[in-house]
Amino acid sequence: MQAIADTCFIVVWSKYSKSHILEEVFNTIYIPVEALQEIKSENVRSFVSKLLTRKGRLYVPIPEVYREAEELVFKVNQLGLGVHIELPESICLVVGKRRGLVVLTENLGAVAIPHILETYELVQVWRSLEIIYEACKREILKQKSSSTFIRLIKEFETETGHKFRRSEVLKYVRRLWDT
Amino acid sequence: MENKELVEILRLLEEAREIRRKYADWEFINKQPEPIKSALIYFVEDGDLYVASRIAGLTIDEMDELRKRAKIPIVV
Repeated sequence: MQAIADTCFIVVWSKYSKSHILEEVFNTIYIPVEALQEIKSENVRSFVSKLLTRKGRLYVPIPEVYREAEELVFKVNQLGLGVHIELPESICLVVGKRRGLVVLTENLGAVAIPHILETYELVQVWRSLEIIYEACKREILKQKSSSTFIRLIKEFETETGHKFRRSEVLKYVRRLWDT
Repeated sequence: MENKELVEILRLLEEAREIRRKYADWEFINKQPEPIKSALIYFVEDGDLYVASRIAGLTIDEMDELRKRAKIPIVV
């Protein structure tokens, strides 16, 4: 499985103590070249650098991708639904569609796109929650019970400053244990 | 797209905004100089770190540190 991550996602995961699971869930993680310009801190630079020496690959968009991504930004705005995306996550969505990559993002607008645009309905957009769930499902992170899974989620929330909706967490608890 | 799906997406966006408003440290935010204060308020209302970082004149990782200090959660 291959993925492309936007900058916000990379910044958030650089703070997570179990970030190694990214490299176990995905064979390759593409990082758009623009992301490097958005990273100053030593810790995040070090995280990206380590990722690039192993399963990470730097992605440099071609002009067609920029054009398609810019069109997507306007198309979403023109829908007038109150959902918007910006160019960085739009680039990831376009590449995700063209290359069949999972898009890794922490942006709700990007998460909404496959649900609001038919041309993007096959693009898989994953948040951190989906990655942690996938790691548990594949037993990369072994969880004995729903309570240890919930503790794992809380640990992520504390380390990265996230809040997951309880209903979303419970949805994945049911998928893991109510079979 | 089914109307039901759109309603759900809009509900999630509003719910995320409410959660950010609730957990934000407003005392910290209101003490910040401009344009940092405006960038943090934008992040509370919209949840887009990239745009907030452009308002603040910071990189995304610097903006993420700032929103953590302001106790504004990322809600997705």
